[in-house]
Amino acid sequence: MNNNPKGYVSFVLHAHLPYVHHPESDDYLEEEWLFEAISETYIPLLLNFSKLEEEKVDFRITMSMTPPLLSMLDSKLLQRKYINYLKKHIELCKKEVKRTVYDGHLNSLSKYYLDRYSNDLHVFKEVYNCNLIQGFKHFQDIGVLEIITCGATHGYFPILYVNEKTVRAQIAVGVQTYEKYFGRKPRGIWLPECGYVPEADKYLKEFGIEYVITESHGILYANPTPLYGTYAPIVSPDGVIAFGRDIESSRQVWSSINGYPGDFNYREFYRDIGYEADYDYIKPYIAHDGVRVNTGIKYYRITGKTDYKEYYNLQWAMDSVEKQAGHFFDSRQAQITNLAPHMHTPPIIVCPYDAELYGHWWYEGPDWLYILFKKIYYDKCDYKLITPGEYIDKYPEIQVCSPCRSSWGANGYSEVWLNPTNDYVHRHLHRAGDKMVELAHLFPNEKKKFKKQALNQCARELLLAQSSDWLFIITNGTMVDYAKKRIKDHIGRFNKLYEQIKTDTIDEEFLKDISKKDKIFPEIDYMIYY
Amino acid sequence: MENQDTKTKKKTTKKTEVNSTKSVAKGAKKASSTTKKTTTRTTTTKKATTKKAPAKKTATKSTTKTTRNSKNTNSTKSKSTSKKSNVEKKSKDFIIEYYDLPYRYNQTIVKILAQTPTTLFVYWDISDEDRQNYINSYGEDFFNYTKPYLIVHNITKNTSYEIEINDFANSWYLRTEEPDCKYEILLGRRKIKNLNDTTIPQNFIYVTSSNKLDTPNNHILLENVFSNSPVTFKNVKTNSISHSTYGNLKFMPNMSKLYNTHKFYESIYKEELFIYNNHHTISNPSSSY
Repeated sequence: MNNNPKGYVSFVLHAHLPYVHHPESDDYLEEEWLFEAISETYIPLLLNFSKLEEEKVDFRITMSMTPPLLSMLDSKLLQRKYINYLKKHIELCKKEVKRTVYDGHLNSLSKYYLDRYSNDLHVFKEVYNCNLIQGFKHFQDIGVLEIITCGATHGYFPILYVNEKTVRAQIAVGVQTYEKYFGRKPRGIWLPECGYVPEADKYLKEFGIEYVITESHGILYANPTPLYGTYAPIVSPDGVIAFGRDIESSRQVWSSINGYPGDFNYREFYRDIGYEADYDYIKPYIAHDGVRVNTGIKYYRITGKTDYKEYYNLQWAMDSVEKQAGHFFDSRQAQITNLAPHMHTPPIIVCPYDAELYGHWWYEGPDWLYILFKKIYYDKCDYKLITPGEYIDKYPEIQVCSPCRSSWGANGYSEVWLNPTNDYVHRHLHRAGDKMVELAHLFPNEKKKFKKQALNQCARELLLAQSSDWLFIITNGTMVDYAKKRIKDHIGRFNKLYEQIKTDTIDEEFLKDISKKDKIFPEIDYMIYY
Repeated sequence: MENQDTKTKKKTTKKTEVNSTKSVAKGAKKASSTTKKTTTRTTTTKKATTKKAPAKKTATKSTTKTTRNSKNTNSTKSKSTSKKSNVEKKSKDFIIEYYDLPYRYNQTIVKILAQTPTTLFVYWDISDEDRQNYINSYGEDFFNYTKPYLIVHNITKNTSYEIEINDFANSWYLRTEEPDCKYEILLGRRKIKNLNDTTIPQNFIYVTSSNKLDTPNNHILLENVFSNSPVTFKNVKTNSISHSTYGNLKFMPNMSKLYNTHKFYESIYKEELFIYNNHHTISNPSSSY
């Protein structure tokens, strides 16, 4: 650690999952997206933060926790379902411990998984009382974690802003949800998909947002050209500060050629007993209709660039973690040494990632962060960890530039969310947005309880339809049916309720039903669309 | 008015089967895995697929960027999971719903969106009422004797061009030359050439205009740097303003290395770029003429 740092490194982890909540059925495996992320990413992050806290290692990290994720973590139904998920995994692990006695190595791995899932259950129930939000809040409260917000349902601003009120509502509900869970206002926002449009700035300001994170060219292509590229934030004419992703450090983690997660000692994601174990044996632990799916129990390491795989070795994996943390540590040192003499403020290297990369995809990722943070604290170096908020407080002199319209999707603009596979969706989202604004003007400050509930539910349906996730999944070509169904359901429910509200024929049973299914944002006020 | 094709069926059994309904609900509530599994696993329709989706979902942002080697095994596996059935179910406490998206909204509208700095996406519709108005003004065959056109107006450069589209499409991708410009599109119609008709005028018959759209920039604006124009700094705590310059450009060689960010994206989004580069041959629905 250095008390007179020449530069800073800022990790930003974007924790997000779309709102998947199906009280009507137990058959939606999509709910397991959340459970996998809890076991593989959120709990490991919390455990590593706790270790750092116990060891009195001063560190800094920033995380966006999106409103749908917060709503799901807070859902009693999903908490119960997660506990069931864990119990099922523990049961399977116990069988695995018996099954694998013939091989010492395999047997120790199966015991490792048994420990891990048992510990998850303990941590989830006993330590956090089923509420992981409190866990993250604790680290914010002690000053090592800066939690930022996100658009209400991860709606993609560069396409939604055709109707600016819908962008304003995404921001408003994002900020309100944050306040509800964290008891203060968010300083920053993760723009969904890093989608920046200057038209949103005035609303960000209106709701007290100080800063956003953009993709590298959001800064590099700004007007006028930023003096220090992505190594210093810029401030837009409307007063929103933008931090840009650092290209060099991103490449080290993401690159398909030499990114860290591809290390041969790391756990192989695609070899899972869900696919490999004897069918009758594994049947109770895969999809209800018998289709093989991942279980999370994986015994192999990446090994090499062929299909030949060897057993995972925890110690070897940790050796690679150490080595790569050292490499990242040295690379930032070199980068900052190079940059600092040319700048009038210390450079900031902003490293944003999907949180779920750490743990879910890159199984060893949370441990890598832990080792790296300890190194930065104990080893000799010229830089420190910082959050964007702290950087602004220390260096408030910021160049005025208009950031470039951009996103972090492939090619840097809107192709992922607007291409021939999903372009048909946008007219429906725009039309529903217009209708929502129309409803707010037709029935402002509605007093009748029932009608007000219907208006609020309309707002929820609209927001849920707007999740960028559905468009992304359609582009991606897997799970397309589920994503399309979600769009149809939310637009369908919205349109139906819209007609009922206008004709004063609200179907009470229908409203109750969809309010139970789409049970997000209980405090929402449709007047945000006024 | 809108062509909504939504149906909501209610389970007729809802009221009559109170007892069994309750027991199911209770089983679920108790969150006792055994009760729950037995009550629900016997039901018919299943939602399979899923598990691979998160895989794929984050994969594009993460793992496909890293060298996960067993891509082959992966792709075969994801295929095996793609069996799918609509959830027509289930718990007697809930209404079974089925929706289709409305075919159209019967509005006269044209909207533009920016897909990339140089590709616009346009969608449009003409309401039945407006269609009737054109027919009233220009005769029964107005829509047979005319074809739809878009005028693409670059407001920043004050230039325009016109493209012919067709009545089979309700959206279109357009190439533009200039990034970082403000655009507006006019939807209208023109009489088919060499047509023997005197009721329809020869000129562009205006229908409606779009939102105004600013397209993204796609390069570092080195021109500000080379002209060494002053740059403004603001203290965000005090709002005081100060000025500086690009100076002796010592810093710029570093930045110029990043000039071609496309190369950077290629290194991290290899697989996706392959997909999107294919989209670059824009395919719009073609006219049968």
